[in-house]
Amino acid sequence: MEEKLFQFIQQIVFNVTGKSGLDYETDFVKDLGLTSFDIMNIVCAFEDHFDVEIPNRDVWGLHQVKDAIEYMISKGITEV
Amino acid sequence: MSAAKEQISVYVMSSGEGASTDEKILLLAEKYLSEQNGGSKTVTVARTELGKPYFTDPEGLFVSVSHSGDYFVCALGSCPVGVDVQTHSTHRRESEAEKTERLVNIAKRFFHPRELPLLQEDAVSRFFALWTAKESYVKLTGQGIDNSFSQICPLPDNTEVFLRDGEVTRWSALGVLFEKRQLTPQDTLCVCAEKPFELTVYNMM
Repeated sequence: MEEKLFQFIQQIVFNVTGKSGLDYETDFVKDLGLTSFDIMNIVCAFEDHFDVEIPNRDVWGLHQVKDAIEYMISKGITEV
Repeated sequence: MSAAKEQISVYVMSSGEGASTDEKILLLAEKYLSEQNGGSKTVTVARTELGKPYFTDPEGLFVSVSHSGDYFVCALGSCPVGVDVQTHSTHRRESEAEKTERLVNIAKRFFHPRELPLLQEDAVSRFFALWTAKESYVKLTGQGIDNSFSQICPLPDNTEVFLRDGEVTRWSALGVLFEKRQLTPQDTLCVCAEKPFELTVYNMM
């Protein structure tokens, strides 16, 4: 499941920003240089795909790819 | 006699340049101080818990930064300031219709109910006009995009003022003053401050 979520995150980030080469430790801001608007685009893509709500406050705690994966699992995501 | 306006300078640079954000801030602050006072001062930059930059030295100098696409912008002034820049990027394999749909969906998530009807026409330009205004405001306050973002409405009472076409648009809302500039038709810049200001944009690209 983690691997599938990782691949999903890779695809979304690539679609939104054109950036690739992520790993689990990649920091969305420090390594990828994502802006807050990029991040909110990604959040909306997640919310639409998984039919979940991600409070804005929670978003800023998801610094790395692995944080996003753990968060999605904690929200009960079991399928991609 | 009208009150003197605060001087705000916005420096527009290429986001690809090698220096770190804090290095850019320091260089531009020294440039700003040199232009304002003719002298040099020690400049020290720090960050709040939420990442907002500010100066511990000198007093009375305020900063806000933003980056999008090819742009890094830094606003410096003698009063607290917020700045945001947005390139109207199109995502991979996204048609114009899909781009509009994506932005309207984002607006339903992040925009105030007063703002949504404005997107029925000229959605892309108006979306980024609103987004940059909202984000410049939350940068001014230092709150960032938190759970209250969709409750923030930077529209003036008379929305016609906001909707006027033009390279420069000025209005007041939320107890602050906004100035929107189109760097290009696809790149929107917005600055806000609590006091009346004269804005100078220096394009260093």
